[in-house]
Amino acid sequence: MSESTEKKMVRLRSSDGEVFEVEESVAKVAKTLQDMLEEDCADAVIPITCVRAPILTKVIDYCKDQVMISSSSSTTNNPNERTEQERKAWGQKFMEGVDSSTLCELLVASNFLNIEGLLNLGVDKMVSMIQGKYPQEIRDMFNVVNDFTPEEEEEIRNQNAWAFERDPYYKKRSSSK
Amino acid sequence: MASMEQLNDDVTKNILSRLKLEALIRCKSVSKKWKGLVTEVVESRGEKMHGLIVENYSLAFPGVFLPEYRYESQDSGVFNLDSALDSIHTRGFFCIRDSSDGLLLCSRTHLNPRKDSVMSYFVLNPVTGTRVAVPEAPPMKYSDHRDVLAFDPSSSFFKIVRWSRGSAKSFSEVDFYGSRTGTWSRRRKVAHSREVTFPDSRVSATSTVYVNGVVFRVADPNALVAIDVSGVVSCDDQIDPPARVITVPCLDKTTHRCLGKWQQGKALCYIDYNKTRIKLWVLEEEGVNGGAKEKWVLKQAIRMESLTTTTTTTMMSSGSSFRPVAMHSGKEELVLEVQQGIVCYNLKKSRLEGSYPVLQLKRGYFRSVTVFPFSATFHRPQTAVDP
Repeated sequence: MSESTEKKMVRLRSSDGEVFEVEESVAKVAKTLQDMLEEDCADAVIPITCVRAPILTKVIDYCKDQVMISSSSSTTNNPNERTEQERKAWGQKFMEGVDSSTLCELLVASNFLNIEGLLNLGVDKMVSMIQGKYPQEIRDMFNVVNDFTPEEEEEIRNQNAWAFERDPYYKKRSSSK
Repeated sequence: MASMEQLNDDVTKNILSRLKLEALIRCKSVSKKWKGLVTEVVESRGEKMHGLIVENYSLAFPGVFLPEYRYESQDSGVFNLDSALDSIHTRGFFCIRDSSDGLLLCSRTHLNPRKDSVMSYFVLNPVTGTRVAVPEAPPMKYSDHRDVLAFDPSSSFFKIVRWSRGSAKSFSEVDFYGSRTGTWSRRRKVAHSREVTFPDSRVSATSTVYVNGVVFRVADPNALVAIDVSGVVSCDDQIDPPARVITVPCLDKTTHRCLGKWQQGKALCYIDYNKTRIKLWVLEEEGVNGGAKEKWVLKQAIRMESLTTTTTTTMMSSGSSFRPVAMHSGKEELVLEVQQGIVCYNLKKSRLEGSYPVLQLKRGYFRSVTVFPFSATFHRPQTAVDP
């Protein structure tokens, strides 16, 4: 605890009321927080209204790691510096086991807090989850409501039949006619 | 449970823009909001999408040159054009005849030593790999016909115009095919409004172009011949379309000519060039009432000198020249052949952008380039079959 006197701490409150105390350098990884801190309008607890505690924990983990890399990269020959490959592997590991619902929240959080690196990780993960999926699977996975009438949906499918050829749902429909 | 609907549009578009084309198009049917976002992404990608198909003639057997195609792009591999081309390469003697807004008119010749070889046409969207077979065309006596593909991205139908050089100066012979009816028309004789001949152009792909319902072809002396094909739909149609001869700006013996599209493909662009300069003209028409009056407007004049100084030295040796070989119909860009490759000239910014060092050929020669605007929206008509 002796360090806390040297390092300035910042307190963040999640949407469900939990308060996190982090070093200022960690908070500053988020551009939105950095701006707030530099304008000096954040002495008390900063409310992060759109992010729940479990998500904020994950976000803080990410920020801490970024601080660790950047603080050590100023010294030469630092052991923490990562090659492109290692960075990729780290990112994959960080996003491992993140389900679609958490992923959506993470994206909302990193977009709101303006953390580019985390946003990119999330987007990459999202892309890999959508890539081989069909519309109904995507809707189920990410809770998107289908607001097309069956006729409208059929029309889009017919117009772009080549993209739906392997869709099991599509096959079932056209063969049942 | 959290939903993707909480994400703001920019984040969702970011995700969509990184999807492969097939997955992206599928996302259109997720929800109404997604459909709108996908459309935006497709449009912005079209702006960025850039690629060209280079045709080289290489020595296959002693004395026999066959075309070879290669897809070159500086965009990351969103489209797998190579696989679309590969799958057709292996079967028969394959040739790209023409292109129109992202579709290719191709032919395949089955060599038959006992009988005459049979040539069949098909239309290919290399972006999606979609192929549409065209029924056998009526035989044509002259081997020097130009095959022109006429396709408007707003419709899902295309036309093919097989235009023979013919034996007379006062007319030429034309076959029409329309994918709407799926049939070839009877042969038409189109009368030229004045006597012309068609040159045997080495870069044949740029000697004709389809713009706004009209097919144009370079002719001698100092002319273009234009056939309006917008009304030609069925074979029962008894009226022969007239061929209008349009005089082009003055030329001397050292000047070469080619055709392209201007203003997002809405206007005809005529290019003449020699060793010292390239000139681009756009056709503007006044008073369409029966007697259209053509006016050529000079849009750009590029000095070869200015190109030489800005090209990377590895692409050319001193004294080599630039030859226009294609024009991008979606954006104002001219594709030029240099000694060691292909460069793209941005007409808006008046500077070279992008180069493709592709001409290192041991045995063979460079022939032509097909430039690619994005067109994944072309959908498969009812008659589609794999040829």
